Amino acid sequence: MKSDVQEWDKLRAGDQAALKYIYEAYFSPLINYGLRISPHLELVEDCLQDLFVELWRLHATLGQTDSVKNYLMGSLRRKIIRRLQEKNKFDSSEPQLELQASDEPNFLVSLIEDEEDSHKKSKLAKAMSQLSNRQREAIYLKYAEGLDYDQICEHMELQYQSVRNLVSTGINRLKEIIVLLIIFFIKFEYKI
Amino acid sequence: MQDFLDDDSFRNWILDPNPELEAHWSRILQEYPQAYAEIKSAARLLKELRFKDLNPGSGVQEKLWERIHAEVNVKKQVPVFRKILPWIAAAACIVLLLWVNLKTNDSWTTETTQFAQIEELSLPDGSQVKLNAGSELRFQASKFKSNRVLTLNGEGFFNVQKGQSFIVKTDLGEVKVLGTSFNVYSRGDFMEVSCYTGKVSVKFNESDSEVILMPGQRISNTGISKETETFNPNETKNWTEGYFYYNDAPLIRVMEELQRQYAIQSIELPETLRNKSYKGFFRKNNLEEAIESICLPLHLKGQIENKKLYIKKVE
Repeated sequence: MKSDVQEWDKLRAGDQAALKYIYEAYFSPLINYGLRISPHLELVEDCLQDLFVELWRLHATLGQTDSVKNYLMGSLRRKIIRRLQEKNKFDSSEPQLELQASDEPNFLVSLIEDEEDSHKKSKLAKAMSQLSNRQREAIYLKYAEGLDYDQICEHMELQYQSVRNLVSTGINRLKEIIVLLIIFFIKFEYKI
Repeated sequence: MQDFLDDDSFRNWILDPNPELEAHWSRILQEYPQAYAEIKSAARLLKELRFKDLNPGSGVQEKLWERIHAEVNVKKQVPVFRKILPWIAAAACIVLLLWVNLKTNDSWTTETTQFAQIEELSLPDGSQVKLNAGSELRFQASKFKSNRVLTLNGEGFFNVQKGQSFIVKTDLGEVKVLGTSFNVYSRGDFMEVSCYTGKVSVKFNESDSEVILMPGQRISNTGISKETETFNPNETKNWTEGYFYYNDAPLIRVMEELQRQYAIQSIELPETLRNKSYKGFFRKNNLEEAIESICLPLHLKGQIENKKLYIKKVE
């Protein structure tokens, strides 16, 4: 998006109105993404605040970017994960050792639930829950936020091929379910 | 099928269609009818993969912005302070230097007199000075006893206590004495020293040698020529008693003295009259009388209007 890159450049030049513009333009995707990494609204809000205050304080040292969204999402992800790790260290009693070992947070994917086809949705949700965290996250970034593979690699800190594998194996699992559902759905339609 | 799912334009066609994408993908469907099933299930999958919006709403968004805005503008003040810190430091240094300078220079005392004001003052060594109107005298009070040096711009009558040398510096020269009374006049390019008692040594800037004045002797320097004359110090009244005597002085100098003594705003004196020679005196008690005693012998007429003095020839 051209205008976003323009606002970004204005921010780098020290325009506080541009900071507000960027905040308003990206609040929704950022909070959605953040709440999927950690469901605690307060924590995500704190990280967002940090992120934007830092953007302003370091505006003079920011580099150019061709995707403001990807930059912001990547920074938010790092902040939330750092917070979660700190939190684990501090309030850890023994039971949390496991969580600490895999510092991967549980990536939450909630899909829209329509009342009419809650059956279909719950199947899909179940399929989702069977995927790994990374698969869910990659799929989310790819299909909900429309990031391209290079951008996903950059901010999940993974190799290009592993991201592709994550997405394609994840999608294949989902596809099986969806295809089944479609068949079921078609059958259902025919019955009527 | 993965190929379709990976394709951004495919994804956009399904989720966020526009006429351009519509045309592109219907052309592909026509060209590859065998891909129809694949495309359809890929489209279906994409449509099913709609993620729930977890956005807690604009209330949260606005409140969080207020927090960010507040923090951003608080933190902003720190860099501002840091920016001006060097200036504050520089200003503090200058103030400190000035202060130290003043302390070590042992602050100069400056005495000035306005027009129509005569001041009598005692110097730290006990000597007396009468400072004529429109004059300035500077000296270092704390060092004065061991180093009796003054600078004078204007006119002063000195009555010096006996002691070490006593020096009056002016723009045009300096006067050195060892306990005596004398008058120094130094304004513009005219300097005059009169000795009343004791001995006075005068050295003008442009000459290497000193001139010694005995009581009753007077030396003047117009910058062009030096002149010595004698007077009777016991009988001749001077400015300290309100008498202003002139012996062939240019009229402009007399007029300027009149202006200082009576605080006249300005004097309109025709160019041709400025250097007319005046011999006589005026007193400081009545302005009209004073004007007359200057003007009458020269066949001039003086008139005061709005605190300005106009001098004209009598027709």
